Amino acid sequence: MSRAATDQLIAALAQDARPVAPVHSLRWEVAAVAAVTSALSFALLEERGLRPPGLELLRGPTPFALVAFGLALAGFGAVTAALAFARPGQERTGWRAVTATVLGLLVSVGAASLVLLRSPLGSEAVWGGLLELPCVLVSIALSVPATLFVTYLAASTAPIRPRATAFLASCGATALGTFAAHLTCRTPGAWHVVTTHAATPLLGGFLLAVPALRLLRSRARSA
Amino acid sequence: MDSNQWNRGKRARSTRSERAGDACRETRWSQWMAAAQRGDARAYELLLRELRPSLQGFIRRQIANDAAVEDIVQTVLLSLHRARHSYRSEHPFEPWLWAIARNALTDFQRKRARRNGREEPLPDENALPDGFLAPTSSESRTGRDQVGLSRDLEHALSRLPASQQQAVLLLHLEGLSVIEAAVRAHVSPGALKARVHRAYRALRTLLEEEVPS
Repeated sequence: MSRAATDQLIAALAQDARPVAPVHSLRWEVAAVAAVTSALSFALLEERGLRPPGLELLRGPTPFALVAFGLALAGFGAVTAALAFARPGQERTGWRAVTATVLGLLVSVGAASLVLLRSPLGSEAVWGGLLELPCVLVSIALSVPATLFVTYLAASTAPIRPRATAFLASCGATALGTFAAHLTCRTPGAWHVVTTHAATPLLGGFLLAVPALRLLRSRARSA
Repeated sequence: MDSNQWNRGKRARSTRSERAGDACRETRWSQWMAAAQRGDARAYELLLRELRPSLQGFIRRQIANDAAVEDIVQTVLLSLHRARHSYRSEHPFEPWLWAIARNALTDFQRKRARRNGREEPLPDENALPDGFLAPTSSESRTGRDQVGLSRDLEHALSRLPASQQQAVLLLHLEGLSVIEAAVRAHVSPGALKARVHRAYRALRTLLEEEVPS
C-alpha cells in the first residue's frame, strides 16, 4: 500500500467524521449490569424464598455466605473484565478484574472444598446428578439475560479482543446467575455446592461463549 | 562544572522537555479527538495526519516491510475511525490509541503466521470472471439491475458471502475507489482488495459450473 493511499484514506475518514456519542463510563455499565442481575435475583428470591434454614454464615454444613461472596466477586469481576477488554486502553482494569474473578472462584470453590474435606468420610451424599442438573440448568437459564446484556454493551463499544470478551461475559453472567440460584437452592451439602454452584460459572462460560461471540461479532459488524 | 555533570544536566533537561512535549502532545490529541467526536472534520484530519508518523514508527519497530507497515497503519486508522465513540475524554488518549495499534499489529502477525506455508497466488486484480462487465463511471451509480448483469452472474453473486458481495458491489457496481469502498465497508484497503480477489475467484468457479463450456 502506498503512502498516497494512506493520504487518501485520511482524507476519506475526515470527510466521514460525523458526530458520535461517546460510550458510557465503565462504572455506569457495570452498575447497569448489577441492576439487571439484582432485579433477577430479587425476583427469584420472591418466587422461591431464601435458602432454608436461613443464613449459615461462615460456619455450618456449607459456607453459604462465603460461597455467595465468591460467586458475586467472580461475577462482577468477569463482567467488568469483559467490558474493560471491549474498551481500548483499559486493559489494566481488565486484568485487575480477571484477578478478582479468579479470586472469587477460588473463594467459592475453596470454601466449599474445605468443608467437604473436613466432613467425615461418606457423610456427603453423592446425588448422581439428579439434584445437580436442575440447579445447573436454573443457573445457566438465569445467566442468559445478563450474558445478552453484557454482550450488547461490549459490542456497542469496540471489542478488540472478542474471544476474551465473550468468554468473560458469559462466565461472569453465569456466576451472577449461579449467585441467584445459590441464594435459593434447597439442596444440602458441600458436595453439591462444590460440583454445582462453584463450578457452574466455568461451565456456563464455555457453553455460552460461542453464542455470545457470534452475537458480539454480528452486532459489532452491523454497528 | 566537569563534563559528566554537564552531560547529566543536559540529559535531565532533555528528559524534562520530552516529558513536557509528551504531555503537550497528549493534550492536543485528546482535544482533537474530542472535537472529532463532535463531528469536527478539520480537527480529525489534523489528528490523523499527526498520528501517522508515530504509528509508522511504532509498527516499523516490529515489521521491516514498508508496504506491510503502510497497510497496518491504514488498518489502525480505520479501526480508530470505527472505535472513535469508545474514547472518553477524561481518559488519556495515547493508551487508547496504542491499544488499537497493538491489536492491529497482533492481528496482522497472526494472519501472516497462518498464511505462511499455505499461500497461493491471487489472480490478477483485473482478471474479472467471464461475463462480469464492470460498469462505466456513468453507469456506476445506477444500481445493479440497470447495468445489465446477466441472471447467471446475479445468481452467482448472491451465493457469495455477504462481505465479498459487498466488496464487489461497492467497487464495481457503485464505482467507488478502493479507499472509498474500504471506508464504507469498515475494512482496510488491503482487506477489501483481498475480498474482491476472493470474490472474483469464487465467481469464476460458480460461473464455470453454471455455464459448462
